[in-house]
Amino acid sequence: MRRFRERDAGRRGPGVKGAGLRGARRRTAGALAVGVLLAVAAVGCANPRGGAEGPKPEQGGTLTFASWHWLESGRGELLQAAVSKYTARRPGVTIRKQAVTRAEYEKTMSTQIGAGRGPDVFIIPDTYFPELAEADALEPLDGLLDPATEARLLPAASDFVVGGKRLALLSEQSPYGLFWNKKLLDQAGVTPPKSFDELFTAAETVHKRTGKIGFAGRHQMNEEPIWWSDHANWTYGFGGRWSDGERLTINSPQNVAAETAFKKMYDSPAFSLGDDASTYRSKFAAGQVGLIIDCATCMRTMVNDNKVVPTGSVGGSAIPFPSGGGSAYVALGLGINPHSRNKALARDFLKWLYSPEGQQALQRVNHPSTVGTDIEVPADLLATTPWVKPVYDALPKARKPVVDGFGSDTPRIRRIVLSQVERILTRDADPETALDQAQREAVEETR
Amino acid sequence: MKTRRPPTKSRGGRVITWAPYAFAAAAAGYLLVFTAIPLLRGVQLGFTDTRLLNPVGGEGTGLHNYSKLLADSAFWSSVWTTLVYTAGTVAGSLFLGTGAALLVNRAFAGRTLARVLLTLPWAVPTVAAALLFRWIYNDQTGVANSATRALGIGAQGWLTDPSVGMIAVLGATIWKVTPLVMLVVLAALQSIPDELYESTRIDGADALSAFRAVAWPALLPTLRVVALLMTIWSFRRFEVIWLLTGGGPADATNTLVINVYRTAFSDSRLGMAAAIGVLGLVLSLAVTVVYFVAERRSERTELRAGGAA
Amino acid sequence: MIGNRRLSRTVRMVLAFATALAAAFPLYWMVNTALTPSDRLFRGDQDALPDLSRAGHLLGVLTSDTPFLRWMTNSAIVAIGTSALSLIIATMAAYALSRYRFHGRGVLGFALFATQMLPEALLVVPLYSLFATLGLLNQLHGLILVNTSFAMPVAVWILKAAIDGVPYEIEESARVDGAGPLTVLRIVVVPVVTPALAAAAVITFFDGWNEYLFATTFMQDADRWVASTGLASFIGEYSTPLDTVFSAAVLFTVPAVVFFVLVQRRIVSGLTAGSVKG
Repeated sequence: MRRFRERDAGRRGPGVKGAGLRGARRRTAGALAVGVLLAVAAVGCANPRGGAEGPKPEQGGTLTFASWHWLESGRGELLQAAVSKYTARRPGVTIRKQAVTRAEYEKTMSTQIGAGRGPDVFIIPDTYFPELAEADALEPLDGLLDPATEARLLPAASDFVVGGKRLALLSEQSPYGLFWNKKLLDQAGVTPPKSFDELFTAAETVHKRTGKIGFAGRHQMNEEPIWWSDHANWTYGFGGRWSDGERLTINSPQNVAAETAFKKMYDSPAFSLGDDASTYRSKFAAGQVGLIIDCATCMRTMVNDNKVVPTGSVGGSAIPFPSGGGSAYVALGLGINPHSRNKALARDFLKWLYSPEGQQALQRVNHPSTVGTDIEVPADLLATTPWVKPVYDALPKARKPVVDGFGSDTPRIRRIVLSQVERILTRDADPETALDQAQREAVEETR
Repeated sequence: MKTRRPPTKSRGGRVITWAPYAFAAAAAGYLLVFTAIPLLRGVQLGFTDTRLLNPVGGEGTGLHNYSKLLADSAFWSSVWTTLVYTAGTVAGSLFLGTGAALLVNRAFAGRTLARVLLTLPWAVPTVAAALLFRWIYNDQTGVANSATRALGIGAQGWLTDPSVGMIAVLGATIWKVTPLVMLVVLAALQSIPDELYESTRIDGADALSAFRAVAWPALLPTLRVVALLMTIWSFRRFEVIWLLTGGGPADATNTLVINVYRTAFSDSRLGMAAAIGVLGLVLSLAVTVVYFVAERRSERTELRAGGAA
Repeated sequence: MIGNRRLSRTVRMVLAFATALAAAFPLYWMVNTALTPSDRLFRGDQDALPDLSRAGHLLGVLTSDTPFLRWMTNSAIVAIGTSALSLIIATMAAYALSRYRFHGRGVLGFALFATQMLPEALLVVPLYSLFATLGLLNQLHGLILVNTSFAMPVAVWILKAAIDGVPYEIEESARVDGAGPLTVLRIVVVPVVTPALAAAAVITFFDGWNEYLFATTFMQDADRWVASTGLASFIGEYSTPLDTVFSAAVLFTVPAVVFFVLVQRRIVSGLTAGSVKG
């Protein structure tokens, strides 16, 4: 392992220095310099803005579609089935799946698009959209939809419009709700909670009487982007906001109340401490969790083909926090990468997806999330999710997890706020002081 | 040890001048294209406000990133976390690795089996190890808490409590890297001629003084190099920490490399991330320089001592 | 005196096995977890002894809807490619560094060492741009190239130290017979340093087999993922049964462990050749 004596060893080693060598060295150096310049150019300027229209849809081609849904068991196949309805109409077209995990999604897309590459069409989480819009990393989609379709767009479709320009289409809107395992609640002798205090007591009672986890939710930084969306249910539920549209309001009394409540739940032995979403969802699916705040689509994944906790044994309601159902929703958009070399094809695909046939096909994938337009959900789909009705009813009051007026700053505000929330949870920091500090840091950061 | 170097090099014979350049060209070219140039680009990014989505569109901001970092207490706590993590990993793996090597250096029944078992963790892929330790450290269902409950220490929040998060990450890291230390130390131990031990034994020395007289001086150079390597590898270790905690709980394991990754990929601040990376590199270089200076000095001392004897 | 030594041998044996079992326990737990049904795991109902009748479930992930076998094959290609490319480049470089004095020798030595300090996170974006330009993204050989840049320097050290230990005389006779430097390296030096080559092969193989960050960033198609990316995709949002995830982890670990056990003896002798240098 002694390998670092190059200089000493060199002095003792053989070697010949000569004039001929010097000349050769100069030539080598010249060639090297050219090589270096080329490589530097490659590293520095690999960003061909533009992309291309590419082949006409009738000519066929390959369209790359990035989404984490490809990886999701059950949902991946449904998505495949939906897009194959499109490829049936356009026989020359192949849809190439680009699967990226949810946790790695934003960073992978940013790296690829930043380098002038990336998929043709891709899913865009609402919290990621402002950053893409600000960096001109989305192809404008104005005029893509006919007026009749435009008229049927859901209100959340406007989340993807900036300065009057539509930069992405709403692919789905997923409401959050409170869900419970009916059997466990019956065993513990508690009724579905109607307030935070009842939720807390119900969770503790379930834990005490059955030994199972009372309440589960995200609470860790290694799930940062999605924890933020989940956590907004507490903030919004307690009537709080991250900003009033112009100024940040991170330390508002409502926000402090929300963090105090979350901390109370976190400290309870009934809480799913340390479990990430995949773990506590698996535990819910195995009948080990009493109550859970999660997105409706996620609940469908948990009870899908589940014999331990079938869909009929799950109950659901709007989130019962003081503001009376004000919760968060997750909106996902679909956009075209400006570096795509198949823009004509990409537009054709999106147009089809927004046709009645496309929306019906997408509804089968998304349910119980919505699609982009207001359509009738087939009865057979609704029957698979008897718990979703009250959650739907609360959707009009729900808000997106993007900080109003601070769109592209959301990721940095998110980091600052959640770091302080982590301090409240793990280091028992005082909620008011911690949010005061988050407010100061975020104001500084976004100035 | 230097005297035992074979006298090869001074007797070069005829040397063809192009040969070393031809032999070294592939490695040199490789380093240039795949390491040096990306690194230069990284250093350059540190002086800009570049965003991840537009890596060529950043504007020069001079030393702004650096002055901001040096005034930021979060950055310094990240430096401190890195130092704690590195010191813990180096001390733990060197102590356990050397101990294990000494245990299996001499023959006993089942030595081969013990040796294989001791070195297995090194062969476990990092991602599999991280997955495994996440399960072992699980608050409710993990075997680590079954053990602490049985021992009467009570359940710990291995990956949720900032005061034990570092210990948990260190445990997984040391488990994974110690076998390499053991293998290298074992190799060094086996290169000590048996006669040296025999001579001390004839002198009637006990095991401990035999170790101090024979094995320790022979091991010291190896241990120094291993310590340096473990140090610089710990400065840049990413996967175990990222997959176990992502830098949490509450930044308790937010080392500089995790900080670089989070700043670049979660916050999209490529320029700032590059600046953090460069400062981390400076720290690593400083350690290396200190190491080489200390090495030179101890060598001179050894030479002088040798000359006096 | 004799009794004393026997006692110390027993103590050493007991201590050695206690340490060895502690080191091996997490691996045992990985297998145990893979053999316990998922719903029992989530109930916290994991026995200390696994149910061996479920051993067949270890292969369950191969029949699940993830292309795990494909990922393992990709990992093997990347690991073997990284190892082979690293050894070829490193053997030549190590020979040059060990046997010759030439311009840039010190710089090369330092540069090789310095690669071990570089955080991948700092390089991943510039490298991505470079690979995009060179058309190396989403290609297994692209991964081989990037892994080699971190694995090759380690191989150079091991091999340089080994070649330092080879007496120059054995080369001289071949040179007198008129053999060129490359022939000398191939016919005379390489056979003598095979233990070191084995050690370097294992270390570089593991680098390729384990690598996660570049593989995750550079590969787009799930079919071209390597096993580390595939396995990490289970640590995430959506629920794959935990016993299936752990059987994937076991399958991913087994080839590396088997390969390692097979060449283990050679590693120690290979490192010995390197470590005696002072």
